[in-house]
Amino acid sequence: MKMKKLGTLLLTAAMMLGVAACGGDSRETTEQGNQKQEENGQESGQEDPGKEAGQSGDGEEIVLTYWAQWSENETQASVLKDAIARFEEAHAGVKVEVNWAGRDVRDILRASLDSGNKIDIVEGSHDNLSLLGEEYLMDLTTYVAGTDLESSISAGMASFAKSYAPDGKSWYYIPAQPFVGAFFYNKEIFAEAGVEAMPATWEEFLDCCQKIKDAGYDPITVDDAYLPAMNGHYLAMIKGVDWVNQLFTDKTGELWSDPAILQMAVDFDELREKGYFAQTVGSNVFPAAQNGEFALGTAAMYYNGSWLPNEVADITGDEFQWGAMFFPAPEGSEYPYTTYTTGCQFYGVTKDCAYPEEAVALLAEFTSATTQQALTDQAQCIPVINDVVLPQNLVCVGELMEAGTDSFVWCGCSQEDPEIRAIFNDAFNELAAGLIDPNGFVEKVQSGVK
Amino acid sequence: MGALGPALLCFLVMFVYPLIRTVMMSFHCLPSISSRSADWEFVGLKNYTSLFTSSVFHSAMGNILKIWLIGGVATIVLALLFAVILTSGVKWKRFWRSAIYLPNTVSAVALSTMWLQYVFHNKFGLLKQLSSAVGLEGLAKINWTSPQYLFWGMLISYVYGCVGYFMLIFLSGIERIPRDLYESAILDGAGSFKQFWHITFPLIRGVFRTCVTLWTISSVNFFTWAKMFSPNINVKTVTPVYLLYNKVFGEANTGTVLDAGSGAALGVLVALLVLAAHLIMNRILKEEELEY
Amino acid sequence: MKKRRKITGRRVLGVLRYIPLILWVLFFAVAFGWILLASFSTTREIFSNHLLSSGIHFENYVEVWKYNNVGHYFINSILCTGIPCVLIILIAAPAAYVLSKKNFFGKKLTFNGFVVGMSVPSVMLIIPIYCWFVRANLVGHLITLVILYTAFNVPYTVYFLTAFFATVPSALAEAAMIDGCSEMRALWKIMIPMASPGIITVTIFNFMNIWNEYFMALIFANGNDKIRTLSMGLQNIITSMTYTGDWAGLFAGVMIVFLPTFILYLFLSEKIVAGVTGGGVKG
Repeated sequence: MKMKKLGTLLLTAAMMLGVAACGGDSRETTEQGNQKQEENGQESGQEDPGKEAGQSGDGEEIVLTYWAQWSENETQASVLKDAIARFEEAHAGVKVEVNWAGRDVRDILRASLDSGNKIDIVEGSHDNLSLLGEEYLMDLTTYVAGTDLESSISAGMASFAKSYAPDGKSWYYIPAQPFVGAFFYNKEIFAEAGVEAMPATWEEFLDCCQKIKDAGYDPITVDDAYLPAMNGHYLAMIKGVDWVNQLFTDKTGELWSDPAILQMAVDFDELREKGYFAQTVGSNVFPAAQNGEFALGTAAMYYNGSWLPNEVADITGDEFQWGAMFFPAPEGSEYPYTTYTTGCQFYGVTKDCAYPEEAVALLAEFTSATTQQALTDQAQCIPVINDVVLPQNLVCVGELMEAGTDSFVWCGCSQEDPEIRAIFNDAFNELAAGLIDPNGFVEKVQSGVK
Repeated sequence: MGALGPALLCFLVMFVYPLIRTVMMSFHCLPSISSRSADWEFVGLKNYTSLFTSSVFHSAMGNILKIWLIGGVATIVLALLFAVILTSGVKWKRFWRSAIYLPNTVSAVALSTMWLQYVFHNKFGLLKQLSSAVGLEGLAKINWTSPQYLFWGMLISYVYGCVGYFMLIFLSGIERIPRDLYESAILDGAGSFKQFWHITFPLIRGVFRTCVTLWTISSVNFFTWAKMFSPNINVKTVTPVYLLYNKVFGEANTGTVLDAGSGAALGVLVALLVLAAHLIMNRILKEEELEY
Repeated sequence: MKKRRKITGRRVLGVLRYIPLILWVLFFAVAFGWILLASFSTTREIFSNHLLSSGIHFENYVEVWKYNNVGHYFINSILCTGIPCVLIILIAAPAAYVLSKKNFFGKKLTFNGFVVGMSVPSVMLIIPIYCWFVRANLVGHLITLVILYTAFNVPYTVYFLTAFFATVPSALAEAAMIDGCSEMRALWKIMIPMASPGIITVTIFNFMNIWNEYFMALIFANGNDKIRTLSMGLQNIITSMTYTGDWAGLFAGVMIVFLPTFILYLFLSEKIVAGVTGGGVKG
């Protein structure tokens, strides 16, 4: 847990532009990797012939299978297609087969691997890909050592990815696309409402909302999918990430009687009661609020990740003025208000991959300056390497990160029991829709998780 | 005799053996779904007891009970209504019959998208526009994806998709009733309602029983619409099969520990429910072969 | 006086009975009509309620077609439905013939086995079967769905055809066998053709059950365009369109999947209705 926290901090540093890169201590990790390889070999003898064939690189065509978490109509897909074309040109005899599986792939990745699908490269966000762990994924340390990939990826990004490795220091995950979680806002509405200083405390936040409401807009909207990110941020601010992790795995219901839960419920209930939430909050099914309210300019703020400008690009058009602001510090916050949440999309190479060298070479192409610049320009991603200029719509995120002094993981937690999550989300939806009061919320969750 | 072979083999391999195996699994803890039975750990009734104490499981059972009872009454009443209307000598009977059955031929994915992304949409939805056009502001304000209404929205769309099928079954039942029974009733001066109550209804009891049984099986197995209405598990719409899918085939992004044993226990419970429904139905609506 | 009231009452009822029919059908027509128009509009037009105000945007369809292997989805669905429909009959018809025309020890038990089999929910069976397929490395291949759809529909088909064979006279087949025709030959050349109305009915019924199947397709035919059936393909289109906020494309996807089935239904609705009624009445 400690390592992950540290990693988050380092990721923060890395994402700030202009931070110099420096390689990690690769010698030690290389040894670790070799050992790992041997163990793998002993466990599963039948894969060895394939591996050797791959390493000896005979005349046969090598096929790498990559299951992308993008759908083919997304901008990321078109950038990665170009990268794959470059890779195939540079590596004669290697062919990449992509399954543009889309985000749903996360739900079935493990089942697909279990059931013997040939998948070489997998992709997903830090919290779901790390569930695959060493049981499914390969330690890439030996293959990464000394390559462009190792030298180009920014130091903080590397430590963040390594912090998720089973041993906390090897390359199991190659960073693909980092993200920042914060309130995204519509600058035009803020200007019209006369909000100048960004709210730092909850009180100031309420004032800010009131001004926006007076100007005739819905101050905040949010979709069901991102409620956990917003209330998780709140809880982690006052109680810390480790506590939130415990909370969402606590089946006794004891932690749920903590006054912090009630405080959160009261604060969010106040937002609803004062009309600072759009009417639809509590009933928005992703992406109803994102597309129908925030992108169309009827709501001013939307808690989300930095992928947002890209996802709504077709609806907002070019005129939309993007702003990003810190989540206001609730009363008793352990963290300063200049804290944002963060996470990263990862690539991984499966344990049974016969051509790990080629797979790493492909990932090197994905993290090359050309691809990263294209991803930044066309898909509005935050790069994983240094010296890439952020796109116009993400300048606000860059500024936010520069002003940021602390960060923790997206959602404020990285472990959860699905049933507790379901009970909590259900109760929070009802709270946000005004069906139950804060005390009712606490009771409902408590009686549900027991 | 050899002709029976393939069917029997298929039955033993794909029904009997998996059935026994699922029952066995439900008393074990499995490290992974594909682990061999040697690696199973016997846990007795633990899978069942932890289900019975889980509030999400309670919601799932409550939801299918509501689907079965409320949805069942609505579906059967509507299906019967359409069947009676269609056999009352309306014009273009074949057109109506095909048109009402049409939603059943459409993939549930497409149908639920129609409901969720259009009919129930809180911006440009059909229901919203229709009800504000006729001045029903209260109805127009209803947000069908909100916690209070999500379940009902799902049930309405499910019922709409099912009525056609049950109508066809009732239709064939009513059509088997000899015409002369009605003719003599009309001569006796019986109105439409009397005819229905004294002739049609008693004579389609067998069909009625079939419909109730079919409805029971489909509500116990309720899954597709729940998955379409809530891609991630939601207490309001969860059903036992949804829970089973989640436990066994899993949602990686919630960090679920896949639990095939608990899933198997759910499967056994679902099967027991179907069995109980069959027994109860046989008792309440005894099959009497009416001669007419 | 009383009689006249009754007559007008009947006439009013005669008109009134059309109202539920019209409302029910109109609802579907309006909803799908709107989706058709929306699929030719832009997303902004959909949200601001001005469908088609900038003309017809056929590119929504082009885009769905370009980025999704819709052709593949159709082929997969046809294979996953067509092959089982044939296999089911090949397996079930001989069994049904034996069960209805022969006497042997355990006949009642076998028949009851099939009756019980047809009401066992598939979720009760799917976990061990998934295990086998995982170990056999079959998951991710369409054959899993072909096997499952075939096996799970055999008991009902046996049950249905047993009842049907009972109504087919066997004198002709017996005569042929006396003339030296083998029993199998008599079955396929004489009995099966005579039972063809029942076979067609039950096949249409099976087809309708399998074509839009979701649960097993979600488990076995997801994650990869090579194996997605139409339902899964549409779900994939919808997910990708929600992530890019492309509602016009989403509705175009719904239309692409809906229209071919709809057109088929226009031509075959009588047959389908008869098949479903005949196959389902005793379900």
